[in-house]
Amino acid sequence: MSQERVLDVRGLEPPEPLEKVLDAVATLQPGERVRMIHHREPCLLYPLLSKRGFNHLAEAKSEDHHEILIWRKGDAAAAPYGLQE
Amino acid sequence: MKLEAGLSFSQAPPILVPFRFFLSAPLFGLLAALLALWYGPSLMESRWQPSVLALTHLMTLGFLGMAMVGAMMQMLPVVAGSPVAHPVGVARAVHVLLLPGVVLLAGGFLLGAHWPMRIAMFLLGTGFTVFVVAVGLSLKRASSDNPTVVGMRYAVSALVVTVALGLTLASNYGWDWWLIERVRLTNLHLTWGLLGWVGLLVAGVSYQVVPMFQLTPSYPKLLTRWLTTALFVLLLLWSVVYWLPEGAQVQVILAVSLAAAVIFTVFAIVTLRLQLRRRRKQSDVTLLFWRFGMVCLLLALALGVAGQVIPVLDRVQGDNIALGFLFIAGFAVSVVNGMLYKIVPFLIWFHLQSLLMGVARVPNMKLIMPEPGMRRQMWLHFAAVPALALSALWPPLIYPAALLFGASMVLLEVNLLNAFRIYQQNAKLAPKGEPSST
Repeated sequence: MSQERVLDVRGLEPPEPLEKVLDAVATLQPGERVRMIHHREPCLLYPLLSKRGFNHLAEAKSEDHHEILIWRKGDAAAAPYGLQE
Repeated sequence: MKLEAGLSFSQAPPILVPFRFFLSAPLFGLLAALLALWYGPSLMESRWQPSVLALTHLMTLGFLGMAMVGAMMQMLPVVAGSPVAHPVGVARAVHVLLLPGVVLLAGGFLLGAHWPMRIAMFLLGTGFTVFVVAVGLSLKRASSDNPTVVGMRYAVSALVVTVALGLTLASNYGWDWWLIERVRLTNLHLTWGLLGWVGLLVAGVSYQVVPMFQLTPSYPKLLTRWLTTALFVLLLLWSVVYWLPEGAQVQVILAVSLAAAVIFTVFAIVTLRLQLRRRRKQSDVTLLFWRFGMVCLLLALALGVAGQVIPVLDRVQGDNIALGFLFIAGFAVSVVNGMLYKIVPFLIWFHLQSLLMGVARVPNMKLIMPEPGMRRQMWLHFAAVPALALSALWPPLIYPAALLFGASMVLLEVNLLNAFRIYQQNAKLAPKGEPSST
């Protein structure tokens, strides 16, 4: 069963949301993923994550509510259902 | 839901793509200030003088053009999800063509000589063609649901009209042919350039950057959906009516101009109100630059409308020059300057994050672009703009105004270069084999 850490970065000034999430994913344990909640879609985060060996799945709940799931590549236990590699 | 595992670093062009433009922009502002110091109060005699034309183009093509071309190449992938193809080559070509092009154009005006004008036409025409084709292809791919993309499409179309009219007018200087409609073509050229390219781009880009960097609520949907389209249609309408015989057109021109002024006023007031509702309450330099810019836009609109409604005012010596200073230096330069102070440190932070992964800690944004330096430059600019506008009424004021504007531009260049130096110093720590952005 995967563990989820919720990180709400709404209302933070750039690049704080990116700083916070990069710090958080660096300490992910096996089977653990981050659910980032942001007021906009952080397009520039994705290449930074990919380069560091993380996968992500973005979902827009509304125009100012985006949720991004982030997990380490190859960590099947942390990946959302259906996205295990 | 969407999975974007395929998103690569090509989404973010190398740092020199926007920076070669950003670092060049203040140098043109400085040239404009030096020119104003050299020509002094004589600038206020008429807006048709070669010195005023050179000054205007150093500010618009030089400062604004450089910053806006750079910002657009940077923003297209992030905002529109559609990067410019071959960004490094395109940026290099456009920069290498526009840079001497602007200098020769200003030189051509000042010297009244044919050859600099002819070469400038070739350089600027080619440079803008490369830019418009590259950016146009990227905008064509982008989604039309995004109001910023729509605003950018109109802005680029307005740029095409501006450049085409500009080249026609320049050919008049380059070959001395008899251009009977010079006054009307000039008014069309500057309206498409200032209200179209500058106004539409600022509006379209604001929808993204004001909420993103100033942490305000989003612009109202109704406004983002209609504002740039309405302005573009008004510009088209105005251009057509402008060719009707005099007498028939006066009332229509007045109505269309008033409608455009109302739309820009709505944009300025909505922006100011959104800024009052921002999440973070402390003021910062960018916020102050934008507020100052919006107030100058409102003043310029008031002056423009007053000139239309009370024709006597339009003939007051220097009235158009005050309006030009308020719109160009007060509105456009301020918002561009304010945005540079967010985009530049953010991009440096972003590129270092990518280069220094696991090697060294990336400096904080506040260290990359320290607040005191930005504030000093901001105050110089805030002093320069009213002085420039008032020098239209009292011409000797142009000397302190130009000194303040020049000092502000020097300090802006120093601030940008210091930040870029931090990037270069830190980029050296990157592991070998990392693609260097410089």
